[in-house]
Amino acid sequence: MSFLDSLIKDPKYQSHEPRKPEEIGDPDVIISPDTRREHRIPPGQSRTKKWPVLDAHGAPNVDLTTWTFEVEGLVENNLKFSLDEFLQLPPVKVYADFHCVTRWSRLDNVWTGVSAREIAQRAGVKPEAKFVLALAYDYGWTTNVPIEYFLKEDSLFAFLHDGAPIPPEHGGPVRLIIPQLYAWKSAKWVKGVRFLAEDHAGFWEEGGYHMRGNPWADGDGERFRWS
Amino acid sequence: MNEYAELMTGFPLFKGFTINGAKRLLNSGEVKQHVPGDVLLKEGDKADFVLLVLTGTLEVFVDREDEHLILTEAKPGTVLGELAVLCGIPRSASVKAKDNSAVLRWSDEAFRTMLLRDPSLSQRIFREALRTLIDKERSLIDSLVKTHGARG
Repeated sequence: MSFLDSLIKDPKYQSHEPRKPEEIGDPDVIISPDTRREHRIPPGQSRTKKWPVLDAHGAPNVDLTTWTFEVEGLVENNLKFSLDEFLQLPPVKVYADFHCVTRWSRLDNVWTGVSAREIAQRAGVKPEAKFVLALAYDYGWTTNVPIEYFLKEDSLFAFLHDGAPIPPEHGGPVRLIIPQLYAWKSAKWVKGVRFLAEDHAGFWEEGGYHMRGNPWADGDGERFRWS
Repeated sequence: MNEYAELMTGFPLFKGFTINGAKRLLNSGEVKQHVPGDVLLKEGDKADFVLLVLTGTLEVFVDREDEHLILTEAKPGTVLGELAVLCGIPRSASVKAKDNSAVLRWSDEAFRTMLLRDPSLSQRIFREALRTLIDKERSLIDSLVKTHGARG
């Protein structure tokens, strides 16, 4: 495939300039606050119009008929949803940018899914829960997130991106989206969350990646625990 | 395994790694024990693996005519042979065990996969390799300056 073909055939290629939040129009769309910044690209990042694919092990085979999403740990009610049940939960839409620790940023994304707050509320998260471990279908992959970021208004478990189902290589059927942290915290192929009192390093965090991962912090973002 | 993983978390190259993170790196390769004199790689050989010294000391050397030239000693935490693998060139020196040593050996494929999957580790390995090269260049310049000075 030629370079030109790859652009034409890439349905996720952005030929337009990123919209401003006030251009979204739909009052029901939650606007991620970082999209309101004058300079939307964090330090050390560059804008990509494509949507690169990065993962630890490649996309797993996720069987949609047996797919489940479970909520456990420091909660009043453990929850378990089939895909049908999950898709019946009240949806939200979020307009957000997406910043990868490998230094690209994809601006102007509309995600549709279930608010992380909705999940937390249904489970009845106990006050001692301070961290969330997201669990994924790819060979035990995990990532840890401080609960205050998990509970941001723009954090959600997304099943649509720009109105279309999220392709498997990008984490479908359902992926976590936490726009205010680097994108590795937005677990692809998510299969559940565990609420914890103590922080517990996830897959990349075990290899020295930052425990929080705020792209706007410290001049060059909170990428690693060694630089 | 735990013992080596713990050691690895103390190496500057793996700062920030947890025991589990270090175990993943160990599981990507194979740990071998060597006694003094064991040759781990030979100058001119095809480069198809990378070494990480876990314990002991390795000696990096070249043999020229009757001379055995020791270039450096590699201590725990040192990666060896990565540039030849990445550049696809034969080994530029030989390596043998000076002490009883434990060495982690990654195949070229496992090493490349690690670097491709993990941009942080990749950055660290390249940074360390380039620092070593720059140090060698400095030594070369120093020795040229000395030679030039002696002539002058």
